[in-house]
Amino acid sequence: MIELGQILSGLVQRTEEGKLKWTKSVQNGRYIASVDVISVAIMVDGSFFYRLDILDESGETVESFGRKDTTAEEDEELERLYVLARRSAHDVNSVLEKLAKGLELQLPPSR
Amino acid sequence: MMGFWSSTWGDVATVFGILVALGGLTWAIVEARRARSASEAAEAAASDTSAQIARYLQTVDLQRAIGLIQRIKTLHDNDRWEASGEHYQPLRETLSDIITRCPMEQASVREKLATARTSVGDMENLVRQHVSRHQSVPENDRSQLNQSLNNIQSDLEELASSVWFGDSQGEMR
Repeated sequence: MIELGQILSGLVQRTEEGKLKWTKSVQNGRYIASVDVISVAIMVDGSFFYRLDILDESGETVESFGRKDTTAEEDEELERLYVLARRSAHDVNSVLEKLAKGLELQLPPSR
Repeated sequence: MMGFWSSTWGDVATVFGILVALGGLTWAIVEARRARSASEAAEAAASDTSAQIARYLQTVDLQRAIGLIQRIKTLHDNDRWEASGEHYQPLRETLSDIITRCPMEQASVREKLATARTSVGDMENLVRQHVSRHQSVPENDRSQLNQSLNNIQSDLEELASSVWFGDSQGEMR
């Protein structure tokens, strides 16, 4: 049985590598990405509780991980994934680069 | 002379028999090769026809999805939210059909379509929330719905324009 922690690590890693593109949902605070035809959606509610939904090949939600289902470490990883997803969906890196350029800051060489 | 024939007719018959057998074998090999190339040609033609039918069905589904998005946008513009809610499920189902027909090697297209399908599900939930509360849809939500629908429509139009017809190499690109 695959653990939630493994799934979260995989999602975080692929997002950090820029291989997982997140899209903003019309529902506030919710972001969607897909690995082949399996979609994942991460969201935060008003109480700053994070939740990860997993949708199968037919688009049905088959699993949902929230605060009740996670360990403290997994909850931290969920929060980390949420931040990365939000940055990916809003293309925050590009915005920050433009801002730095506007401020005439010395940018590190792009990797 | 008769003596010669009577002593050698068996050998002649054997040689003749061998020649006939060799001829028959050659003929059988030629026919087998001909049958194999005919069978391969038929198989290639069947596969080509099947690919063309798949591309045709894919184009029909893409046009249907684009049509549904147009219809939903028109209903949003006319504040017919309840009616628009009934078009989201057919749109999700059509996107599922398009995904199913999308070749495995086109991973980025499949991912984009799967994300679009999940986004459509979220739009449906948002519209239903407003309808069930008998609320008018705030400008911010209205604008986000239309923006998301426009993005999906644009991706589908790009996909529809790249589906090939009548090309044996063609897959949906």
